[in-house]
Amino acid sequence: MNKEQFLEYLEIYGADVKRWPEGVRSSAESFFRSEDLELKRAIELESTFDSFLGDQADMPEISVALEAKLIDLMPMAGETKSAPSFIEKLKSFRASKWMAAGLISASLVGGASVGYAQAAEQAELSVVNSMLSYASADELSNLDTEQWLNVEDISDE
Amino acid sequence: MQFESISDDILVEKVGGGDRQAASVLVRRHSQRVLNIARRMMVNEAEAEDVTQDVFLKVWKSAAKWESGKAKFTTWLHRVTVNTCLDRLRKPKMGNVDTVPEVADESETPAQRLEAESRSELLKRAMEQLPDRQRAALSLCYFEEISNIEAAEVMEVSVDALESLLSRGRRKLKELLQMDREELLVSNAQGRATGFDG
Repeated sequence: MNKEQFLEYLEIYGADVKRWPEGVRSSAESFFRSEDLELKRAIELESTFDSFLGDQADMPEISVALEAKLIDLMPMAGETKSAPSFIEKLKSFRASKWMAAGLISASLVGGASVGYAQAAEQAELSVVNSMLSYASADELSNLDTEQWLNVEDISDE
Repeated sequence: MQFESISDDILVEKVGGGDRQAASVLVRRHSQRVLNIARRMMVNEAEAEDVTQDVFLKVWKSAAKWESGKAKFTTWLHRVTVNTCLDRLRKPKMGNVDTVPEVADESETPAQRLEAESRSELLKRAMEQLPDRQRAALSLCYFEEISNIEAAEVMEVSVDALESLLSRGRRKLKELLQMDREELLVSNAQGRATGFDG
């Protein structure tokens, strides 16, 4: 290594030899110890600059919340389709013929003067209202439609 | 099983199989450096966190296809980080004004802290003015102390090209900080290190 090359490396990697490529560190040693005024001044300048940068090297630690968020991203990455929202589930909801029939019967037996269609609609609303009363949105959104009702879809009838 | 002692390659394979514990070890092992690189690149803390999330989402998505031994995981991870930053920097800014929080050193007096904050702000502004790839090179090699060979792989350039980026980056930073050089010489006189005694 000659003086010119040393100065080039000095400008690239700074005055801390630990940052230099391993292959040139030993040959740089004599230049770092040199009494050459030009070298001494260049080393001093780079050293000052290194110290300035080094003071800013510490960064705040990553937050626990962000770490948790990163881990939580994992199952999302494996899904090919996002989970249906609560509203989507509601839209796809259809009361079973047995549940509907039971509720309609109850309505009719109870003297409600409604037609079959209205009774069916009321039956569905009753089921939805019951679900909303006893489960949180999170709990509901974690269930699939079959789990909700475990019944057949009357719309297929 | 002792997850902490397992190699990155095996952990990534496990993540590919849906192992959340392996994912958690990878996050603990590498998220700090990913966030730090993003902080240097993006300057803005909220964007740096967004980048970190994007990067780990890419890790989880790629895990099932990961081929052990084909590439070093950290090299790939840092490449994804730098590329995600560069992609975001190419997009128009949305006017976010969050800043990188500084580490408060309790041993400093208020005057010292003010001075440190002022120097930190000075460097941050100068770093912002560097071309993105020079900032990336400095961030990897200088602040994260990644070897020049690995940094070149991360940035997908030759070592010569990386050295050119480093050289130009340091020179530009010095130019940008030139007006405060005298102050720097005084405030940093006690902190010099060359790695050689004498």
